[in-house]
Amino acid sequence: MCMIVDDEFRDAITEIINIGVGKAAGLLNEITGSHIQLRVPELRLVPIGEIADVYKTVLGTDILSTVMQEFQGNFSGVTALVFPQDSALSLVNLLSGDQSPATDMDSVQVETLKEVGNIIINAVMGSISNVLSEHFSFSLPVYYEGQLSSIAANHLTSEEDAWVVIARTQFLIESMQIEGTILLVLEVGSMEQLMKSLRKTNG
Amino acid sequence: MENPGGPVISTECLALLDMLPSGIVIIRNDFSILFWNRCLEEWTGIKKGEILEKNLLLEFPTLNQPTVATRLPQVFAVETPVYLSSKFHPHLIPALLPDGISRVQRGAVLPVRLGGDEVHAMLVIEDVTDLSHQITGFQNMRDIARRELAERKKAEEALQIANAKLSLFSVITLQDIRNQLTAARGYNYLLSHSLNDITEIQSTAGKIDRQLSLIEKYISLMLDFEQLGKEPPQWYSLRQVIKQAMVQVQFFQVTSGPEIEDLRIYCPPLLEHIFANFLENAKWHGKTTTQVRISFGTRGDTGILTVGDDGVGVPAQDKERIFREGLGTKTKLTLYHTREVFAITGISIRETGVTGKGARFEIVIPRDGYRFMRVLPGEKPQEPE
Repeated sequence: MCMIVDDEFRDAITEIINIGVGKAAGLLNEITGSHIQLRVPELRLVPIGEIADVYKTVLGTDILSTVMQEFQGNFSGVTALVFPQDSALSLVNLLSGDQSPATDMDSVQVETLKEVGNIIINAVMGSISNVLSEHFSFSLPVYYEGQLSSIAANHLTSEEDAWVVIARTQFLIESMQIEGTILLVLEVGSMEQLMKSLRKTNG
Repeated sequence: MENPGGPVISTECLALLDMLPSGIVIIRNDFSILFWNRCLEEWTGIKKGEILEKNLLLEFPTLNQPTVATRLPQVFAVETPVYLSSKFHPHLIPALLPDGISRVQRGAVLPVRLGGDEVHAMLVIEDVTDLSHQITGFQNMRDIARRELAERKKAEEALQIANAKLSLFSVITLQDIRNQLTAARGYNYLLSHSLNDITEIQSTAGKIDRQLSLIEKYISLMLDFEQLGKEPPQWYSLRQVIKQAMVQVQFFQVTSGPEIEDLRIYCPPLLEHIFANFLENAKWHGKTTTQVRISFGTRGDTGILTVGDDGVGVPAQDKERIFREGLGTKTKLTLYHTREVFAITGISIRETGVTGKGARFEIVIPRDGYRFMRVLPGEKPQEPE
């Protein structure tokens, strides 16, 4: 499937996501008492079928911890915050001040990651909603872990022609850098709708 | 803004919410309470009639924190649900269990409509006390198991190092025994072939006896070293060690500060001999020693144990030489052995005294090599913990 995405669109969506993560960073600072910076240095658009390969290239692994929320409105899909499993645990431990040497997350740590994901996803989607004057309804955050190809097929979308906005996200916390990604999975037709809304907003 | 058809709650549904085992409160966008379910009545003892129309945030300061309060407006404006984990918000609406323990809670705030277009926020609170305590219990058990495993691994590694040192000590000691035997054989040759004068014969026999005493000392030392290869390092009560060393050397002019009372050191076996060696050194080499003082302090995380006396001290040129192999004939264990044994658990030692004012040994112990723990009545000295 062919999708023509111009730089203007890419820049606009990067800016909107950056506004969202900026707000999220402020809130995470409040909650954790740690100084947290969030950055989105890179954004890509790929068909859903290529996501596992692209992700492996970007982060070097496809075994992941994922917090996701569905959204529905003029355009619909799933927004997810995705981390390599060990990074997710490091992030939760850093944010909660725990020193757990465990390699698997317990349910309290999963809850913590769900709240972090909820804060970031809400901020990003709130930013999209505000800028585009679009209204969505959202599900509560859910957590999945495993291979991205399996998560994508079972929980992100069953549509082969769906598109994904992949926003690399860097968490800078107390001199440590943890890398994750925000995925904006758009159902068939939603990408065109998003581009249309952006063009309308930009006049 | 178009109504996207989010959750609509009817009056019948409100009656259902009253029966759920989760705390549920519905608020308007000015935070005034519209609905307060029976579960919350039970948890808090606050009846509907007392709380309806009041401002939720003003009633419950735990919710009136930026970490919650700043996120509520987005529920009304953008209709994004807010998730509140038990890690960051364990007591959303403080409530005690019948046994007086605070309930641990987690929650979510969802946008809802009660018939009309106005968006309300429904805070749903789950009691996760049992789950939370189970996880804490599991984490504690896991941490204990992990600590024990790390300690065992450390002990095994130390035992390996100790065995390597033991081989070295054995070679050195056997060499010493051979030297004494050669000397004794020489004296014996003199006795058999050259000496006729009774005084000379007695003097040479005395020399042979001294060689044999030294051989006996070395054999006894080798037997002590055997412990090094058999027993892993343990936590030793320093107070007990000092007491035993005093008895062994019959030197009782030892003072120590209160900080020594509960101090324990992680060290291979022979700590008692090491301290006996310090006291013997003070007694023999200190010449004018009247007192030995033992104290403990910290430098950063590192523990500093000092053993000082008021004798003649160690000449500047000998401060490092005294730790060399083969020196120290008065005592069973030498400072060379002391340094090597300490090194097994990462402890170092140096002499920092002022010549003429007394010897002072500074023993530097890593953070994981010392702790404070009271010796229980009836506890055997040098028992592993």
